[in-house]
Amino acid sequence: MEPVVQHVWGWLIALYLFLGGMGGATMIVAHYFYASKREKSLAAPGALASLIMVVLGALFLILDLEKPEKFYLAVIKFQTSSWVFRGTMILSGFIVFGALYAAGLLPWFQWVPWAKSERAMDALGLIASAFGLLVTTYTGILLGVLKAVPFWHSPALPALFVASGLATGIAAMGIINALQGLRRPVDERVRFVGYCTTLSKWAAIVVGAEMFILALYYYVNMFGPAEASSAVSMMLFGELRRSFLAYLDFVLLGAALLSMLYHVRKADLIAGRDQSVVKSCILPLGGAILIIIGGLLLRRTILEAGVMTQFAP
Amino acid sequence: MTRYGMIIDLRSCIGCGACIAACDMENETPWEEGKRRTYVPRFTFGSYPNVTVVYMPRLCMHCENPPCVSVCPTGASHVTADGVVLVEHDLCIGCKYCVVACPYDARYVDERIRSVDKCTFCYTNRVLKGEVPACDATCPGRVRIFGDLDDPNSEAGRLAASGLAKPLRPDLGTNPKVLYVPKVKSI
Amino acid sequence: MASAKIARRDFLKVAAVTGALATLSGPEDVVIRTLKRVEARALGPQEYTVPGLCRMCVNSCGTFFRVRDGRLRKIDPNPNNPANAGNLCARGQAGVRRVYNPDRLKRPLIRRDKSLRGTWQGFEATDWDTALDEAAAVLKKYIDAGEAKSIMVGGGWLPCGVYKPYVVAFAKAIGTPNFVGSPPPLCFFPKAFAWTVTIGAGGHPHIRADHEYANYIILLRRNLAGSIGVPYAWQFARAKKRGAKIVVLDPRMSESAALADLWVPIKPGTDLAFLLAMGHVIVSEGLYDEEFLRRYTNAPMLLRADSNAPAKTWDDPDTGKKKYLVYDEATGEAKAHDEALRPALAGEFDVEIDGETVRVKTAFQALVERLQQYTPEWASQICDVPAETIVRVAREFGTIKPAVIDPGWHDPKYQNSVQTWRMVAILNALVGNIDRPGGLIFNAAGRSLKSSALPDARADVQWMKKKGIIVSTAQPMILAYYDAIVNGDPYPIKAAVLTGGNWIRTLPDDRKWKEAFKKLEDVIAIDVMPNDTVSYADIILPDTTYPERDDPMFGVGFSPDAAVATSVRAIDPIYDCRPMIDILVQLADRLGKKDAYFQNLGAMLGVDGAALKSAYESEGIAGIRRVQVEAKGVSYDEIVAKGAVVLKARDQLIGTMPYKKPLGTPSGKVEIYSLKMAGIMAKKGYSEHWDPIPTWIPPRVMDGVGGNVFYLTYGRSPIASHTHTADNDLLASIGRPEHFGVWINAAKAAELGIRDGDMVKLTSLATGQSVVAKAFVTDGVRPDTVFTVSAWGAESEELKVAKGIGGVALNKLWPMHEDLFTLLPNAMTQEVLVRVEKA
Repeated sequence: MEPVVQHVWGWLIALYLFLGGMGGATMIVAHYFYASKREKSLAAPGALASLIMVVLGALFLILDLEKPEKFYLAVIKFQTSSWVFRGTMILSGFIVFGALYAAGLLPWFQWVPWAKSERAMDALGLIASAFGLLVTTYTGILLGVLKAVPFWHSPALPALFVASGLATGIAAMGIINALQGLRRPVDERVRFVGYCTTLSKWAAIVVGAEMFILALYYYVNMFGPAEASSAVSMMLFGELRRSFLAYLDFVLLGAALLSMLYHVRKADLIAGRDQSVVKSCILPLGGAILIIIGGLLLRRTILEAGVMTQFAP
Repeated sequence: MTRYGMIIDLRSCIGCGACIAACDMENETPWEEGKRRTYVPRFTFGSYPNVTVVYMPRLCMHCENPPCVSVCPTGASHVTADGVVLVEHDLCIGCKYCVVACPYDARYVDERIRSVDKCTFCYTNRVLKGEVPACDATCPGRVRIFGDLDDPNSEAGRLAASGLAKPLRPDLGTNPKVLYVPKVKSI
Repeated sequence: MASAKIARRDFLKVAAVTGALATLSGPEDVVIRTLKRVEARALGPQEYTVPGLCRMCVNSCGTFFRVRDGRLRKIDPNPNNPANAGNLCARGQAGVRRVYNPDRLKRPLIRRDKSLRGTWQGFEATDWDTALDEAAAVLKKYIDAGEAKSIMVGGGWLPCGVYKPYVVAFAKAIGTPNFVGSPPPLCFFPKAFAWTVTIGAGGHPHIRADHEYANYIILLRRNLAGSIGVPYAWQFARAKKRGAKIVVLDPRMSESAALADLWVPIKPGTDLAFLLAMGHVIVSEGLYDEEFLRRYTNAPMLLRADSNAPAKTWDDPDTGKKKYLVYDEATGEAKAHDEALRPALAGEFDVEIDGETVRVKTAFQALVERLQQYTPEWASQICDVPAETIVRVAREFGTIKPAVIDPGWHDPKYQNSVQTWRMVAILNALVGNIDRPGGLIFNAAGRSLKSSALPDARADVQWMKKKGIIVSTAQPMILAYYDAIVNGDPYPIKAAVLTGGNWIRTLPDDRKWKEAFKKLEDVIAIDVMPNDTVSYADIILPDTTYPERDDPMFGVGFSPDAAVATSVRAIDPIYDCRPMIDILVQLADRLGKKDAYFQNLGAMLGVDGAALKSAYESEGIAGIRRVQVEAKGVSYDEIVAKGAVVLKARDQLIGTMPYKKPLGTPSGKVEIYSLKMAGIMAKKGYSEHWDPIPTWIPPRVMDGVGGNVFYLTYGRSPIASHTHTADNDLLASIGRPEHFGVWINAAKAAELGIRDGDMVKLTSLATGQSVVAKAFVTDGVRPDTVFTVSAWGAESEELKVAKGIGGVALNKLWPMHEDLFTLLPNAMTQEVLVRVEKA
């Protein structure tokens, strides 16, 4: 039987899932820099970027609606069984707490009362991060609960999306870190080079986890229902092969780049060599961008591999 | 309690497509874009000369546990008291979650009304007026038998109770109210 | 009156809605929303229905046309009509898209440059008066010159069927005997002839298998389920549902074969061998109904043992039937068949006939002897079907009651078509199922057939006489008109008035017919669609589609119940079109022949011509209907409200022929031995084609298949009746590759490097012409056979949907067999081999 693929969700939803995943994770990484390093110069732009990503993602979701002007119905009708409704709640929570948190970090909003209290900010950051994790996870659950698409209907899918979300969130923070580092004089840059090293390590680890989940997910699905195995073979051998391989190439190349830099820099540090701008900032920038593009390609490829349940008499 | 459903008797389906045409005309579906509420795929099994061909009419299963309804964020997808799954076009915002949530590929987006749409069993335009759905009304093979599955006096109810008619993919847990009598050879 | 009707209907609807809502419960907002929507539909737009008749194929099913806001929305089946009994196929449903087809002929067109025939160039739109005046002037030219008979009035299935009196009345009025509808030798003649000589009726409206009650059905050379014909298909499908066993002989897995319990992929054209072997098994195992054969067939008829000619027959002046001799076992003498106490069924005897001792045997004995040689093993070699299958089918057919072999529909396919259907008829008689429930029964229309000879002045009659063709068996012979047009033989045909039909696309070897249509001096076409043939017209008079007109009253064909039906205008014509009957009357009027038209029409309809004329003048076609309905004693209000009225139910009619009433055969009995064919044999000498006892005739094209050369077979699909329905966007959108393409066996296709969906070129070894179409690669067809659906291959670029579909133009592949007329008239459309190559 010719596989029938879902055809109603395209680029806009892929962008939404991607931005939601990346945005949610970015908040977590941003909060790490506040909570453990009190590094507002990363936490503030990180939280802001995270918010913008999620809001932009939500915008793409709304744009994908047939009636964007009626999007509010998804909120006010309170259909609690729907993951779209639950998603709007999660997104709203994230946006509210993320905004409160970001306000406390951003220089323009330092007048807000909680900006002065580190405890309040820690709490807010934790809540925002928790919502961030929810947003990231939710993008996977949205697809994962659908029995109609056996390939999606797997606990590995949310796990994969979380891993990919974290990888892209770390990469996003890597970009912010690199930009912050570049703006600063050489002596101050050392701190950001340190962060860069940490982020690079994390990225490599998370991408490793992502690959592990992906391998398990695909391998098990090859023996799964016919629809799921045909989805996998579409990606490995069929018409989605190119975009799937592009995803792998981007993510692995990005992670390889970062991990290479991490080792090079570690060697530099041990040898007491200078931290060059190119090594510390420009190259990680490239790796991060590759991982982020890969994250988008993953969402798109997974959506395109949405082989619907099939029936034979 | 009325529980509307349909029995599809694969034994006498001749794949003539009358149901498709009747539905498209009755419900003014966007058939010109290839979007329709019912369709009849043809399956060929075996190789020459041991070949079996089965025509399998497909439509919304009007599930008792409809995934399309539980995923709908606005309540546009709903079930009537007599068990018909409908979409309220004014409430539908077109998120299409129901389209991917339906395991039976029964839903499409009607761009003219910017809403998801699907088989209604001709609920408002025929059933509430005491008629059967357009596909049932026209079917030359009497393949489609609409009726109250809980009514032991109706043909649909009898077939449903007989166990002869079976749901598609019961493993999905959707509990369809469209049931299929399988095709078997009597020689 | 109309508005009062609508108001009442709306009131009823509201009442129904309220009633329905009383039973509706559930979440309140859902109920309210639903209520609002129902009310909006019931009260808002003006909606009404009128009964009608479907014109998407010849079966003329009963319908209801539903109109809302002045637009035809839906066609529903009409349960009052016994033919389709509340069922309608996809084509019937798609009638809505026929009305709103933008490709339709929209206004009268005139073209003065005759060299542009065959194209759509040079036409000018005009008004009806101008067009009718010009058309009348063209006809007047011939009438005034005393050459009216050089006008041919032609058509397709519509004027061949229910509209025939309305077209023939016109032809007669303008003084030409040359009317031709669907050409029988290309349609049903061989099959109908075989049945008619055996049971007195044989056209597709006349006889049927009683699928509704049959427990065993054999189908051959027909795709009941896929070609639909709802009056038959609904019973066939339900027989299956009821548990009847169905056997289908077909080289390809048709929709009927898909439904069957046993698909026998028989070699094309060899069904006769299968049937003869079935007969062999049935007679040798004694599975026949002896009593039936003895009493109701001429099986006991005595033949001369040396020649198989009837020992003696003579006319019965009381009944007009033939009497014949039988051997009375009670007295041991030869006696007139109706005087013997117990006619012997089998055996050879020496009897005294007119003072002379003659060695005789019964017709049944002759049949048994003939069938001796046709063993299942013999047939197995010819049919490519295992002998065990033949034996099994024969035994089941002989033992499961009631069993029936379907009488077929269209079969001008092989030179053996006549004997094939003779054998089908005889097998049905052997098990004694004639006019019995579940057997081979008569439609109401087949119970009182009158045969009328064709007028001698016709070009085809003169032509056939000249060629020595058996005129007494001949139906209108369209192929004779080719000679008349192109060679002036027997006299020139110079003008054509076409009332439907698409000869350029349907008659064998389209090149010949294109040549003929270019040669004609004048061509006037009345049609709905700008089809290939209409592109050869000089004057085009656009007909309305069926929901846009009132119809007269018609007898319901295709039903065992006797009934009458009509079609009520649902909407006004959406373009500047007029109903064909109006066009013909208006033309006759311009020629001063209006009185003659109605006199002719009255004579054919059995009503007063003058009354018809005055009713028509005051009420139009509805007036004709009123006069007919009143003459039948049916209520006019009832028929226009219900669409159909049953006059006599099936149960009152079935089981009468030949039990209480003689059949229309020469002897009035079921003729196991055909006296009609014996008569031909006496006149023309022996030929296997009219051997009164069926004998094996191989198809002409048996050898030469292999490599990339295949047998060509064709049939119908559920989404197309004929070229008439090809240009329908809804049907086209429902169709699948198997409905449009060329079926090629999967293994064979792999051998030839053809993949599903590839374009392939089919070249006819008979005509040399080629067509290109899409391959449909399937396991559902024999490796030596290709199959395609017959509606396609439109060349007219005005048919945008049909042209887009492409498909095979079969009549480029069919030759016009040169010796067609030396046999019984038969176009032999599957006696063709094609070469298949990747295009």
